[in-house]
Amino acid sequence: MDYKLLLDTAVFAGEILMKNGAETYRVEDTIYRILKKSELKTVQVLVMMTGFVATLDDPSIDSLTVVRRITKRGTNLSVIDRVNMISREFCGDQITLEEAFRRMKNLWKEPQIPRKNLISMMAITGGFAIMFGASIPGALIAAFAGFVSAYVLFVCRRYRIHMFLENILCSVVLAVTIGVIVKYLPGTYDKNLLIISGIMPFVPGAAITNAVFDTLHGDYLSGLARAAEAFVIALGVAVGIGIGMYIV
Amino acid sequence: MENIIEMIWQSTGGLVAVVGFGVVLGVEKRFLIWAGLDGALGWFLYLIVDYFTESMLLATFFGAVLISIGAHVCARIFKTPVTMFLIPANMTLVPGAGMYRIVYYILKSEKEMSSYFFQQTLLAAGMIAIAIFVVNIVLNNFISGVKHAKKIKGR
Repeated sequence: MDYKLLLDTAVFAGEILMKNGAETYRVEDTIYRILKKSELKTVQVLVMMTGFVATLDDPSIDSLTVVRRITKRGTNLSVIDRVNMISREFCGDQITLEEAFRRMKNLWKEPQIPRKNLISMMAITGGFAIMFGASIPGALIAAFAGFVSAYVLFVCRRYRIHMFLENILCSVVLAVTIGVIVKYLPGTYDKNLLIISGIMPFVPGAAITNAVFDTLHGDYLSGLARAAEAFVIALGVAVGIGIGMYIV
Repeated sequence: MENIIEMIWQSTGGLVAVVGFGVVLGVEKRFLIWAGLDGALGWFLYLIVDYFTESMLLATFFGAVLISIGAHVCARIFKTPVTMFLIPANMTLVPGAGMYRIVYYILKSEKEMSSYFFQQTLLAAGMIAIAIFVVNIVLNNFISGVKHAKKIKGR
């Protein structure tokens, strides 16, 4: 067996999983299972939220070790599912190592947001407005504000603006948009409710869920790191809303 | 009766929102509706528990329990990671309103109210965590326990 290629495949899998926001224990488990196929004596994996180390060793070969640092993280659940499927098929001897490597490589993409997300953001904010008990015109206003803030997010991603600043900018724009519309449009709308539904897309729900899952699997370090991430995101949104409400 | 219709209408809004979230988070198309239904059911239970007990925390807990169970069932049926359903559906219960209220009362310089909502927000997040914990442990232990019992019986 080509151990170098095996390690490369495992590292690819781990890096793709981490970049797309998989839980830490899942990354560790996937890399370990792939490396275990080598049937070498020592297989060790250590995954933390910000990077990982994997090593293969045996008396018969020189030891191989790889370190990877992960700096950018997004969330794409279907990519996680696909990596999972490839590694399951590879570990069940349904596909060869070369095939697994090739398919992993195809999944290798930078996390980015496609344009159809602008429409989905409208569905999110409008849906949440109805869910929290707003009227239909209120939901339309929330959907419009969601579209505007999603567009700001889109521009921020294009210019690679830091995540914290990105959250602040989006929520400032959101709060100002809703504030202006509620002020000048005839009719009465609950401004607080609309802003709450508007910030829901930026609230760190994925980070909270992943933090719980990591802690549950005994990965306390990553659990705490994700909780801290959730806190930083929430702080950014809070600062943005504060500024936006102060302006209007 | 009118309340129930209002609750169903609000839950439908939740369904739309969760499906939107699913698209943004890259959930596959065939799973979207299930994640949405999961979230909507969770929010419906939240509203009902909130109506009867008037405790936001209790309502969050039971809503999160229902959502977790639904996500686990869906994950077992479709053989995908639980998070595929859990992350979008859970967005309905994440305390965004609490976060907003903290800032709102800080801006109004009402310190007591803002620290009250700070506490409530942290507790609500904790409730979601406990719910996920409990469901995950109970379901996993139950299934592995049944397997273990069968193994012993087979001997």
